[in-house]
Amino acid sequence: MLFNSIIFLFFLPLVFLGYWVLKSNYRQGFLLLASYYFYFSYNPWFLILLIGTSTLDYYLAKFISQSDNENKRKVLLAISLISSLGVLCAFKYSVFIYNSFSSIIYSEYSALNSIIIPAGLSFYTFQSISYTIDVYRKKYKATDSLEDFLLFVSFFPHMVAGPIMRHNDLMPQLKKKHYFKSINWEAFAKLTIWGFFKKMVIADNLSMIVTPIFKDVSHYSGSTLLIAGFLFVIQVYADFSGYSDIATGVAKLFGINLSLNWNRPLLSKSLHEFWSRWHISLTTWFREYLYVGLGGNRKGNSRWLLNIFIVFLISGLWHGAAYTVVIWGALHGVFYIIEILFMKKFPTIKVNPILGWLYLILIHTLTLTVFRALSINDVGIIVSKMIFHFNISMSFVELREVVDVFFLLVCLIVCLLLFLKELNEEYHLIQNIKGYSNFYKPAFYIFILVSIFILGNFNSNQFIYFQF
Amino acid sequence: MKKIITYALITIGLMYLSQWLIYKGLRLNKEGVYHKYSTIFLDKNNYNALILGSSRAEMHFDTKLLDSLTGLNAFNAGVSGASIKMSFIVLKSYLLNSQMPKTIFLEIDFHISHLKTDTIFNFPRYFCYLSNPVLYSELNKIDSRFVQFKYNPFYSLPFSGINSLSPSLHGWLGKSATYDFFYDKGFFKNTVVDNYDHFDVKQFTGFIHPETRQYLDSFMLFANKNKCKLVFTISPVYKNAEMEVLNKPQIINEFQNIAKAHHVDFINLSSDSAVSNHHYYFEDNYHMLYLGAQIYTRKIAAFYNNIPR
Repeated sequence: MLFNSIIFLFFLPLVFLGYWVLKSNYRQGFLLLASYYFYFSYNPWFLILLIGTSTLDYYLAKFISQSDNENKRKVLLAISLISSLGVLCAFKYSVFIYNSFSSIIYSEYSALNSIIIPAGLSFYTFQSISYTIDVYRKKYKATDSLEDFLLFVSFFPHMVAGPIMRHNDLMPQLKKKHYFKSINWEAFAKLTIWGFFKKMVIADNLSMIVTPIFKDVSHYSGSTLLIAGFLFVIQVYADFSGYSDIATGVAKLFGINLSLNWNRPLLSKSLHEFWSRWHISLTTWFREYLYVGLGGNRKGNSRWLLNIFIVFLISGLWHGAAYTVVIWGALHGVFYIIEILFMKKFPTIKVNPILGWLYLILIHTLTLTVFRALSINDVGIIVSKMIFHFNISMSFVELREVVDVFFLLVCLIVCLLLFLKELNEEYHLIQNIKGYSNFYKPAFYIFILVSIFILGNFNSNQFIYFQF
Repeated sequence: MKKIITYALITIGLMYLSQWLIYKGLRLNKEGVYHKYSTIFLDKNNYNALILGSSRAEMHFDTKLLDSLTGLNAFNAGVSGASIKMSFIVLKSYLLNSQMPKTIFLEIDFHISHLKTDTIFNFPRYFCYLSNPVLYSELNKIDSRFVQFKYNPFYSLPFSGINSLSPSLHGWLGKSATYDFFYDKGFFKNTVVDNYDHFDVKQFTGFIHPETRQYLDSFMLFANKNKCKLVFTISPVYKNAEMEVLNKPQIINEFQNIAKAHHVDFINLSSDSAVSNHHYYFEDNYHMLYLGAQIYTRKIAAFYNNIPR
């Protein structure tokens, strides 16, 4: 079930009604059933997988928590990690590994190619892993209630595309008794309206330009490919942060506050800053469970830099089983390390914010262009086009071949609106003007709501991050 | 609570206003496809000949050329994706405001006559003409969502989508869009050559669906009752289409027999070798380009002039 589908329009009010009509003792159970139905609607078989893996992790964490024997605890943790990562690898990376080897040996169609990746697998697996590791690290005791844990993993607003929540952030909220009068209606309305706008108006309309260009990169000039790359940057951001906004807004209907996942990353002035604002829950996860596990910065300078690179490489792999995505991760790792070395060498240098922003956007656009390319071969074509066929005057003609001028103009305006809104939030530009709260703010959201109906793409396009 | 109700009312009001502005803009177009539909569904006309059918009718009957060769004053009311049933709805909706034409050319799509017509192709383009009660009630019979499309902007605007904004704006500004010039008296001058694969052939055995037959009968009865001359036409298809419909001669024969039994003139140029054998007359297997349309229209005019009246 997608947030931008008709069925969700019926599902959400029914779950909301059921949740608040029931006595508080039954609410968690009801929310768990609703979450499982939400997941069941994607693919009934994958629900069994979700229940199976989370139940296994629950018991393993419980045994870890109960045991004082360090070796036993390690074995139990290893079983948990192997089972969770094993499922992830089986579904997500088996095709990639098989194809990588088979292309060397022979090329033949394989049934592996038809494997469907369960929606949100990477998200709930990481959430589950973080729980068992935290229990192993004795950050907290394992929960006694299976129902609590299953709901922690599968709470429907964030299950398939995050934010990846920590046990100590979400679990106390799920257990707490909630009161209807404490629902933050304003936050719900603002987040969901803006989230849907980002997804249906910005991301889905930009995909109408981006998709055909990346389908046939050899047909376009380097400048058009760069523009398409930049539009893809905005598309991915609008798509994913749109989902997070809707998820956070919907969770508020049940009195749950999900953690901040996006902090206006496109306004960053360095890659370092960017990664502290982009997909925060995943970045934090990698920092706490992989980077720290690898030794962080405790094992000398070169090992520290290597650890950073490994984290980025694995982060690339997490995003998808393809060489282009791994290269994307590696490139980010390299640029991140260069930034660190630069800052170490010239600690007093202050980079002009606008230059910093332009640098970030350029790096992010170039690397995400590699990410979006359909194959390594296409990456080669894109690079060569950007170097040898960079013709900005051709771009307008080429873009007009893809969509008409009016559509381009609409896309430009909505992208501008996104940036202006974020600039306002970042620098508090108009918050203090008279009538902001009583007139301008509600007027803005009403305008956005009406715009969704007029400009939105209602074809129920999947959120990009579902595939990760 | 008071605030929420106020915001909701303002939103609803804005949605109705947006719907009105967009649809009014579409109706204000003085050229192009929306102008053509306004002519059919809203204007008062006195054309003495009407061309009905699908995109094949729309692209193949050069109305101005036909007028000059026959002395008729014809309007091309061919609507892309229209079945015989839809063509009949177009005729009935047209007659709400306009006088009965003396002659109707009905283009027969033998290659899709086996399909049941329970869907309306590209239905959002009709939204701004639902003030025509005949059109509204007929479309609503096929698709009950038309009640919502007419009265509920929250339901209709997502279907009209972003694509309706540009023509609407053109309407309000009184400006023409790129393809608007391609329309003349309802005829679409097709000069756009796509990268269509002319050799894409999917073979099947066709037949005349009972519903197609039923609406053909309705046409014939209606024409007879209103003393209107009905002419069935089949325009050329590219030679590949000959291979596609395995029993093409049989189907066309059936149409011819129906026409004959009801004393309806029948012009079959589907295999006209002067056109059918040359891919440069075609955009795809079933749609001719402007050059092909001119040859076809001349032949239709010659046939028409020889029909005893």
